Amino acid sequence: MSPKIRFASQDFELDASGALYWPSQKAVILSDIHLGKVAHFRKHGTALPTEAQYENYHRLTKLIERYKPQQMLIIGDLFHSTINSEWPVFERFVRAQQTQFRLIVGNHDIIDPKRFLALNIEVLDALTLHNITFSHYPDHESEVYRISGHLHPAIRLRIGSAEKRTLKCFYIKNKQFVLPSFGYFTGNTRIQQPEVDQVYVIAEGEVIAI
Amino acid sequence: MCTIAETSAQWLKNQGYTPHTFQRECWNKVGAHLNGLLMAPTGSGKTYALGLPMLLQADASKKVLQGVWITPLRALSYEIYQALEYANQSMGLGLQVALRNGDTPNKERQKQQKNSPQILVTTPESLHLLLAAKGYSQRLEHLKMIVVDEWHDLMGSKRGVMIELALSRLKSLSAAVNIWGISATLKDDSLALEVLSGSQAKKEKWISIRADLYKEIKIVSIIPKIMERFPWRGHLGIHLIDQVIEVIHRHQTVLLFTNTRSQCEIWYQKILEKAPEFAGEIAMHHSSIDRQTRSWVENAIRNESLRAVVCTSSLDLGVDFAPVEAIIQIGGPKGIARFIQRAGRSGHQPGATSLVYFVPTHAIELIESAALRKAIEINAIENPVPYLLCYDVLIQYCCTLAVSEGYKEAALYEEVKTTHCFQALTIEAWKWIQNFLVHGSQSLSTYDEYKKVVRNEAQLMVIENRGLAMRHRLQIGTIVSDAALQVVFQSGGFIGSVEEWFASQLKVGDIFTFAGKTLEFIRLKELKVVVRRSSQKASKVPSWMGGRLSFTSEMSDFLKHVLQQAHQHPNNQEEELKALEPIFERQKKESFVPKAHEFLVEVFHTREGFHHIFYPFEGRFIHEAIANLLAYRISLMHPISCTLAYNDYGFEILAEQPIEISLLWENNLWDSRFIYEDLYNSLNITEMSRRTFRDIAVISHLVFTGYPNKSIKTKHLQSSSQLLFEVFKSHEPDHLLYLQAKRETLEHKLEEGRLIRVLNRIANTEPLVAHCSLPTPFSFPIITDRLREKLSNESLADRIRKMTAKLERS
Repeated sequence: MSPKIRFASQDFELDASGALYWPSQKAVILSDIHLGKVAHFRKHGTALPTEAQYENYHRLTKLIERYKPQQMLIIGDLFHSTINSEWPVFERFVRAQQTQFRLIVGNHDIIDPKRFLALNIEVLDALTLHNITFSHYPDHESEVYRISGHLHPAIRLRIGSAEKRTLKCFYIKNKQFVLPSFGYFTGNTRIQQPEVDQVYVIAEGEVIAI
Repeated sequence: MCTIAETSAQWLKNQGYTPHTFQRECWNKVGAHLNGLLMAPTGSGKTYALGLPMLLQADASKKVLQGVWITPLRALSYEIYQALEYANQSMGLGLQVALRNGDTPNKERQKQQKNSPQILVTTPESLHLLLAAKGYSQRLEHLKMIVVDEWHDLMGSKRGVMIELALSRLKSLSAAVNIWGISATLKDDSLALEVLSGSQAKKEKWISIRADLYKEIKIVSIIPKIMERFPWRGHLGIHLIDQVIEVIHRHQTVLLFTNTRSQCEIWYQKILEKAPEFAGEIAMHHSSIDRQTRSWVENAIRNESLRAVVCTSSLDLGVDFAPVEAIIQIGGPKGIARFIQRAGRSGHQPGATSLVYFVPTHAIELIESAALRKAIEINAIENPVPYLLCYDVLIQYCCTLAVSEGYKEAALYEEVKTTHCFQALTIEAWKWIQNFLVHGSQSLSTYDEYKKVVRNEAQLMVIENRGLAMRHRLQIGTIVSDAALQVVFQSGGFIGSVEEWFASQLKVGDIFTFAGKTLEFIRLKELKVVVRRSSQKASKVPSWMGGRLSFTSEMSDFLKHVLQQAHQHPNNQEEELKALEPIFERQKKESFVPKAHEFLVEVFHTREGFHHIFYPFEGRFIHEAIANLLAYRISLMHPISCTLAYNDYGFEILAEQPIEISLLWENNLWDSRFIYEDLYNSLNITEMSRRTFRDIAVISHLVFTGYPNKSIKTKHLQSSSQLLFEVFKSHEPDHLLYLQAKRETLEHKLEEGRLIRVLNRIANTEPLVAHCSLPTPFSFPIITDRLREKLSNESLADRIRKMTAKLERS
């Protein structure tokens, strides 16, 4: 079940993958995929299973098949680090898609923008559409409506009397909407519920408003 | 020329001591080039039993390393160093004795590498660092003697595995080396000897020596003056504080041991509140407090400037404190070894009695005191359980050798198999590990850039990349500490560390006590908890995970034995049991005190449902496993919705319907077969393994714990073991390290072997069912426990929805 919400007078759908669907623009918005992380670790001597790097592409494919978006708006940290052996995988993936990719640069995006442009991926610092600003870094005191990533938010919930679980979440605070990290093999930052206005947790394939 | 034994004896006499029989025996046996295990209590002169021959065997004219002394603690290594250096000077041997541990400055290490000492006192980690340096094989080939101190403590941990591996290497380098272990007195020494000597040792070359010394321990229980008003439950024992303060007044210096760090913080606060006259004369010591403060406390104990120190297991081991007159133990120590170790902190003069005051935190704990008295009569501690097939430590060790001189796969396989830990290592597993080190996994892809160990043209396995080698050296070791945040003053100054989860619940302005100080939380900055002093009353005390202790198997046996005694000799009882008599009376009025062949189950009905309370007396960890197992098996017979609670004496199944107790025996629900499958389905072993995997990931260096000054590049290499666990679970479930996590959870966390024994024991008892109208003295502490677990098969999302629904209603 994907809850629908209204933010800045626009309708959005919260997908359990951590992405946001914006029906009026036929756009999927997501943040913090950190592609190439598995390969980066392997290059530096940490033996992760190579198969794990394909998980992100499976997730992206599923998302594209579900919403058939005209554009994929990635709001930062598309690639984890420098170019590595995963880049050709990414190239092949992007070339196979019909949809337009746009990247808003995050702190991890240190790869030369020319590489992205060569793949017909637009590279931007920030973007404003329908009075909503899309940026990598959130600004909780923002004067304008803003959708960002960067924080990899998660929340610790007490479930029943003895069990506690940390779950990825979306949250809204003032005019700031923050997305969870979309990527497989990405960490979390725990947020405190009282400090934000609204939290939506992702629990085993479902998004639930708390 | 005199023999080692003669020279040693003469020197000890010159110091004003008469050599003990066990010391003479050691000197003779080392002189005869034997290896062995010495079991002796602390403070009995064991350092000189093996230290003197180590010194006397060394040749001062040869500038090579000839003796290595391994200790588990840095503080202890300093004491040993001092004792050896003193003997060296006093005998005029002209040897160079050196100390090397984590605190040794780099300059000193380099000096040691260029100009080798003859005798080195070190820790397991520093020993492996020696193996990680080029040229180690030449530096270590002249070794004559290695002593492993506190072996009973090391052998039950992965640091013991590090020692086993290092010994196997050193034995290959120097065929003439003799190996000795020192341990507290063990009931059965064969396993300790076997692990130390390795799987292929010549039995006739190994002996064990038992010191014929008996350390007298006197236990005095603090019995509440009025038994009726005694609270049934509570973890602190604060209600006995007046009597505790009396004890402190009565003695020059006392150590007050608590079982957890938060209990330590609270007791320290409360004593100062009740007895402000102690201000400045009382201190606190636990492992999360800044090292400098701890050293200050340790020194202050030694020079008698403190009356009392509230401490935790951080003061269990090692350093001798001569002035300590008595020990106060708050709550049951749950294990015999721990208790004897703590008791040994007092009465340090040879022949003196150790005096321990036992403060029960609830009534039933008084039985523990009586049980401990029985246990120390036998004067032997629990046998530690050694780790087997630790692939994580083996991977680390292979890398250690790969960064220094490299290794040949076939030769190292044979050598590693001589250890106890890896004697059953299969060639398939070995090849898997080598493949893992070279290729990073079993599957290969052409694009792969994996880099770690390479097989060079000389067919040596080496790590050539300097960055990898440096990261490896930084991470040698198997002690994994919890993710901790430093607590610092705004004005600067490090106080200690708290766990992340505690820090995360602090809000600006919150007041908490830590390290005996009242602090106000200002902000969290770069993994530091910034605080200032506060004069307000504190509302929070940090607590640390993993602080909970559970009965050891031996302790549990003594406990059951004492309960039996209360039956058989009701008139000839210890003071604790006498004091408990009114409680036993009430227990018997409502229910029973079980006999040896009986298994007590109490049943009663309240508004909450049907309470079924079982009493195996095996400690809470075992009870947690059995309760889940049993509830799961009952649910297979008919659907049941229940919650579980446990403590050290028993566990409760609270259900909506009554459970027919006799059916549990008739249907063989205590069956010890299939426990893995059943536990897997009931206890969420995956969740428990996730925690075990954290240590494994750090030890095998899958997780990089970072340098002190991180560059952006290494920041990109940070990840959590949680994520890795998920990756392996879904992409490489036959990964050896992932499988190791599951196996270790079962063997060490759930104590599989013991669990099977306990189930078999229960299956052979007769159920003794008591239908009670009220909670009994035995059951009260369990049923009022707030930590309950619910067995549920609802989906996570449904449970969250239910929870939020509840929140909205309230």
